[in-house]
Amino acid sequence: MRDGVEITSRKSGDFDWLGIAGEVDMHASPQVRKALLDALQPKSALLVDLSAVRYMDSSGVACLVEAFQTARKQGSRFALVAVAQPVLNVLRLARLDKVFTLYASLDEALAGGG
Amino acid sequence: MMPIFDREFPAQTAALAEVRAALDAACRGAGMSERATGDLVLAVNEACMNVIQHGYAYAPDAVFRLRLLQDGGMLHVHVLDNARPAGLDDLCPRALDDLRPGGLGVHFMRQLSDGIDYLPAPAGYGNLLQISKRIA
Repeated sequence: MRDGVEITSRKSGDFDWLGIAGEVDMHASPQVRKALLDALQPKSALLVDLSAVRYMDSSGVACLVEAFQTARKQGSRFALVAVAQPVLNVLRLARLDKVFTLYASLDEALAGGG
Repeated sequence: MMPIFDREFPAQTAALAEVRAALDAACRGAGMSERATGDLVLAVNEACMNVIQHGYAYAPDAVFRLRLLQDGGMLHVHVLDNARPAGLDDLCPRALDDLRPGGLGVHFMRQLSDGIDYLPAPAGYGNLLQISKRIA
């Protein structure tokens, strides 16, 4: 998979897990946006694994912001897990690394109140 | 100043991966570090997104051209298009504490480069956006 994204999801106990891999650019972000919003249910918990994201631009960041705001309106928990360096770089650039909840691993996320 | 890279791309989101790959190779070939190249490629990607979305409004047959020029220790990327005329007002970033999706592209372009500006477009083009970054 040179270009594009691969999205996998699973439900495990009290939380939904969404894994995003590849390049989240303007071409892929509509797919990522839909997956994030579809996965968000009221009063739920969504953990988004970004460990395999090789590239993210501002359209990908916009997807995460929209999901974050939707979760907040729904009273849901929304957290980013194992954020890969290219994603962390753009989140810092947008000063969002202190806005989103970030966990180093799934175990840490679950210990944080899954 | 002769371009060391000069190529036309379809103004389609599907072309962005190829834009990034081609520009990455050209910047590395000019001696730019991996980190600086990554920053410049992301900045140019944002500029191309603006051309596709705001300039051409996703017109199916539109194209843009990228040129890479080296001036001593500086690389300049020229983004040339025939979209609606753009100006300095289009290069004003929004406030970051306004938490909402979108509108971060200009902020990224400014933060990741050493300068962006609209220059007089050469014959045959409507806009010339220059994005500059020091090689080292």
